[in-house]
Amino acid sequence: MIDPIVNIDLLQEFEIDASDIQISTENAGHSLGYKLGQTPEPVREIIENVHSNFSTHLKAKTGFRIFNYSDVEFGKDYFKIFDTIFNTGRIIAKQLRTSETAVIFTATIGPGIEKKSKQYMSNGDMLEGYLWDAFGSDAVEKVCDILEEKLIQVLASQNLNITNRYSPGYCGWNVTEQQKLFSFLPKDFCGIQLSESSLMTPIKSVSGLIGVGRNVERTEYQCSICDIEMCIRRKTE
Amino acid sequence: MIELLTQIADCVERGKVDLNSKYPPDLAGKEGAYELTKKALDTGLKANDILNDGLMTGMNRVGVKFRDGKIFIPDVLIAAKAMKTSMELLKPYFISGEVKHKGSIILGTVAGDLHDIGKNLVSMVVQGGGWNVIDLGVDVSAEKFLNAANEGEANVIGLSALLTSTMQNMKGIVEKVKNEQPMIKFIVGGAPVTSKYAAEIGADAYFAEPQGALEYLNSECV
Repeated sequence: MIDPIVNIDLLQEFEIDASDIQISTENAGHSLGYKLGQTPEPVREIIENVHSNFSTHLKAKTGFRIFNYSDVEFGKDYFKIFDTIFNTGRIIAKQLRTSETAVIFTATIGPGIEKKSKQYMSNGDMLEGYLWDAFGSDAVEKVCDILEEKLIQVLASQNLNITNRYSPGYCGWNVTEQQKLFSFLPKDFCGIQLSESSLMTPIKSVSGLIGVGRNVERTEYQCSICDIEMCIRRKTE
Repeated sequence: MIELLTQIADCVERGKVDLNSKYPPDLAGKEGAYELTKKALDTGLKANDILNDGLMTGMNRVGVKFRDGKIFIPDVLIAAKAMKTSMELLKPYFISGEVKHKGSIILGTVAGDLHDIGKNLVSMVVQGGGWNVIDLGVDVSAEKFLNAANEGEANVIGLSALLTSTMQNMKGIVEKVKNEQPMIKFIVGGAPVTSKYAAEIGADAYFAEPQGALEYLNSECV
């Protein structure tokens, strides 16, 4: 028996307080490739500078839509919401196969960090620009983590779990399928616009899908399911 | 004289931009790539020697270390800043023709993809290797690559993509440009790209890191 909460079509949008987006300077160095505690001085100094200033440039939002379980179907290399088929490919479909319904989500940190990064880069300060950009990437992933926690709270009392999040553009899921995802969300949801070529504005935004069900789970690392051998995240894990 | 060039190479390798640079700490208060390049020019060293035996030597070491996983992207960016500062001093010599680039390469991130760090790293390393870069930016269509190729300045194009999906756009770009410019070479790179994929789409070479691209340019495209 599927819980009643999945038997509704639920849409929610949240503003995320910048203080809730915590990024440690050590982890920032680590995600750039350095071993913990071994980030060189000039890089560490800039990371600390970005760290103390970046929250004032954040305008984070996230939101999701949970679908009625009867409107979602999962297949070997696809999932379907109403009549729209999403061709995720087998890698992602396999991770979703025990899901009973799905959540489409978006998350963004707004345009501030991107603007700051571009300012530095156009002045020739590539390292500062790169580190602002890297912090922005970490920050938007943190917003996604917060979204997952919100979803867990919403679904926990019903004994429903969530899968990891999956986004078009990764693991063989074509980036153009974002058009389909966005077609299920209100215009400018979370302040994000999608171009015809499937690029999101603000750039530091994420969209994707999460599976929901009684017998699904999140896993700590996902590199084993992905075939991108040269990914920097794979190297640093 | 040779000592000066060695010092320039060391400054580039270690990212010592100028006198005011605090890093690396053991070089604090000492002259950096900028002052040493200026001094080299003032003492009559040829701009070409400064480029080849100073800047390129330093940047080559950086490219090798990055390839070997001994340093990371920020380290390359620090070194590139030192190199760029010195390159500014050599600009007039490029304009006068006293110093010549080895050749020109068109670089761009393919249509649908906004990720530019990989492309920029290649740009910095190949510039440090004496190549002129025509950077078309990100989200670049086949049409734009073709137009740049038709300008005739470059005989090689470098394509970058970070996503498995946008990587697919490389094929159309290679086809469109090679259809009109069959002699132009394509090198490709980016996280999901492989040498097998490069061969499938008709690209001439794939590189996982910029140093490999530079070595290919030096051996196949000069």
